[in-house]
Amino acid sequence: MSWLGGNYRLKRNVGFIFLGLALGWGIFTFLVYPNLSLLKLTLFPEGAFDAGPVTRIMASQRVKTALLNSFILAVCLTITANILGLFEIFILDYYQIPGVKWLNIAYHSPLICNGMVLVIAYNFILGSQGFLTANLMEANPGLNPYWFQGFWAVLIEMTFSGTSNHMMFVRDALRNIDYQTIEAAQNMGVRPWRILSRVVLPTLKPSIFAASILIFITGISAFATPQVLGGEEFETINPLIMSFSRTLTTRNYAAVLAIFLGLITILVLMISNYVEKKGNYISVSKVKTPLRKQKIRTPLLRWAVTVAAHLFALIQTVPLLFVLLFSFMPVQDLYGGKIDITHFSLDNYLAVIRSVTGLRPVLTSVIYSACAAVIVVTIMLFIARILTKYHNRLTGILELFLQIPWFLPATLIALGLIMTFDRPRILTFGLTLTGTVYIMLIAYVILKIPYTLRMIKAAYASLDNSLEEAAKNLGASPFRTYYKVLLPVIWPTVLSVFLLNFIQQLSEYDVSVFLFHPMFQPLGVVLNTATSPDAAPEAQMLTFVYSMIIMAVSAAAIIFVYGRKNAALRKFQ
Amino acid sequence: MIKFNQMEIKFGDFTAVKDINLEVKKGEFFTFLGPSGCGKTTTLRALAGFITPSKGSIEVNGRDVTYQPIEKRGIGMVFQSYALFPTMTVEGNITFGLKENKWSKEEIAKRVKEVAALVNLTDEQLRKNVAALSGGQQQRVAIARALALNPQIIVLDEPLSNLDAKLRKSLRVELKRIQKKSGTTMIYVTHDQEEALTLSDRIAVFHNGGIEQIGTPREIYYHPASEFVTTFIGDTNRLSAEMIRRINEENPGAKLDPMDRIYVRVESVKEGVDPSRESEYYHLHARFEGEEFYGITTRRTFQVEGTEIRSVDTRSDRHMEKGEETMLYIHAGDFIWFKEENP
Repeated sequence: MSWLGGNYRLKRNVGFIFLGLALGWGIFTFLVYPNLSLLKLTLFPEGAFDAGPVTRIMASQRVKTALLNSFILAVCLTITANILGLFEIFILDYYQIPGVKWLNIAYHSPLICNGMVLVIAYNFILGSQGFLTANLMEANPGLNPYWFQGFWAVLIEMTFSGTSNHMMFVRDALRNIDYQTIEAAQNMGVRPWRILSRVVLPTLKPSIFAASILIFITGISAFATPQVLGGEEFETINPLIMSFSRTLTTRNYAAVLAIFLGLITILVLMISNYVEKKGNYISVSKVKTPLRKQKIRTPLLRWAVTVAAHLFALIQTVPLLFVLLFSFMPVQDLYGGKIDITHFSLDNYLAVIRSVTGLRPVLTSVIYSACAAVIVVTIMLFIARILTKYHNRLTGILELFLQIPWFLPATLIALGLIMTFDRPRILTFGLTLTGTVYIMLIAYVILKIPYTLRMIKAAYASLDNSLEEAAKNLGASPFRTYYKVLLPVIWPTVLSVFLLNFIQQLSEYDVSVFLFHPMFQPLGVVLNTATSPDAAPEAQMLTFVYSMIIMAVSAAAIIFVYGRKNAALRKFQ
Repeated sequence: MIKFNQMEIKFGDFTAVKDINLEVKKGEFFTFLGPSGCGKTTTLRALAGFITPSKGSIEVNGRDVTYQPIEKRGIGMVFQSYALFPTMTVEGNITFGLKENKWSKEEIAKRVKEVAALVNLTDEQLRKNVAALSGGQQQRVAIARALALNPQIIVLDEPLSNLDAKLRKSLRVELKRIQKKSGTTMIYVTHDQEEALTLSDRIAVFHNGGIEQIGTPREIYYHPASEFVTTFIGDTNRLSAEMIRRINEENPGAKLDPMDRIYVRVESVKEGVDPSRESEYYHLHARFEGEEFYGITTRRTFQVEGTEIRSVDTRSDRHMEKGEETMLYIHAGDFIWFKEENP
């Protein structure tokens, strides 16, 4: 009988070899090779080592300033977004503040109105052609139309959009605090402020740290915001990479800068891994009591906090409301800074729906995002299954390679792809990918690998192992076991990951701007182009409709995903 | 019907079980009993096919199944976590295996009715989602699901350990009834000696990856083959060397060797005996230490020469003060004896 066991293994091994070859090819071709060849192109431009481009670029004053600007932005943003984010989650879950329902909705707006859409909104409210600027200039003709531009403009926009990390997971940590620890401190006579700083905040430290790392990286690799709101006096790295990459002679410089940005990101993540490993705590409580809200005792402080809370809520929702209003307005009213309800019409919407050119960006983005989300989820379902079933050196390496996109800035990935696949390569079976419709799809898939893998792996890990054994024991084949038993259990997670991937790439800009096919401009690129002062007014009006579409789809997806999560939580409790 | 021959299982360098030789007869309720980490679940999983032994073989009905795939073995399994499929209804769970084995619609409908009746599940419960059931009901579904395919053998991995004590007792009775009625051979894994003693036709006591003793509950309780079995099952006192010397002193003619390992079950330590039979017992002066009142029984602790000896008694009306002198009686036949040279 033992030969049967051997044969079974042989059959499996042949399958594994084919699988390994396919995975190895995909990972090497799209995750490793482009970055290696980018390094080669910059350091060995003519085949021999030449440090010229690197030294030349590092000597440039413009580059130095951009690097410094990016760094300052990242540091400041980490501080401001943390302050605002913590303030908001404490308002929602820790303190008793009137109007918390509305605040809850308002503080979640960065999940819906973010990225290019929020930049557009700020630009057309506060920018040189902005609605509010027009009004301000009427009151004060001496005002510089570019008053809302530069470092502060960028920092403010990014701070208000940067609280999403706090809403997504720092808040969970706050809600999971064992209320009995607070009661214990009260029982020992600790003052409210000391409880906050000595008991509550330290338990949030790991998640605040994780959020800070993400915010720092967002800041250092900021792209669309400084490009639109930074103006000439506040140039950061990514927009500079973009402008260098436009001409062939300076494309090397773009690559060097992108690699440099990649090194910074890797360094930050390595430091964060080190720090995270050193100091972590585990809650020891066996029976958790849910958090109860605290009353702020000093009346003056209570008033100040309430006013600030509502003011921030307003700042977070106003852009969204303005975009809604703008989408019904004629262009003259926008430029003139007038809101006249009698001029409201669906003309902008009709312009989008009625023409091929109007609808094309929507379709392009929807198709690209949906295809990328389907592809990445499908592949990761497969890979994550292997990673959870087999723990060995090979799967360890596989997982490490799949994290590459998380370590590298989007611009570097994009540059690597265009500069590598602009000629036929053996790895791509002699095909040239640059300039085709496929290269942007590949980039979209690459960008979403780490997040998708992490979520789906977690879903597999939470599966009770005996489910699979039970199904096999009842006579189901491995495929049927997976399809009929395991997949249905993790399906809600799979669907959530698909939807979140989909909406996050609807207005993708960072890689799209490098890789899009001229015939198929995605929404992110179209929106960005419209912020240029010499864009056609009609095109600018269409962007509000696009923004509304993006926000509506995002809101629907998020309500679906989180509504489901909360319903499951309630059921569990 | 089931035979383990010299089976050994290794996980990497770690030998989880070794030298497993065991035969289970048809229709038996057979229990693997032992503390956690003793290899009982590993042995069970090897029988079900989740683990391949590194040495030896497993036979079912005279056929070697050591390398047979799980789904071909026809051995039903009930899991500790029940492993009910959360996305299916109760009926969906029960019919899953039948559908996978391509039973006809009529056969499936008939079989669901039969097993539902056997484990006392109502039609209404069959339509419910498994999450809507209580723990005890979920366990019935798990058993029904394993029974549905009509396997000759069902293996159960600590199936009652997630339930509260009361439910555990009532389901135990029911499990025995189901086993009798269906005539299935059941192999049951547990660390709970009470469960093992009440349910089993025979028990295999596992320790450190090997089998210490195989026998009926009574054989194992009254004639433990090793010190481990003695201390693991029931509640036992080990007589210290001082205590043995005291027995020798107080009972002329008693020539117990203080170097022997002598054990006495707590229920064999009497606080009083029928005066006419007093001569059959060794007596021993002891000092009362304290007691725990359990309702039906009272457990008392005594001191003899600085070492403790415990008793259990159904009489609870007797009042004793701490330090009070009393007499204990132990029947010579109640000693469980292990000679020093052969521990």
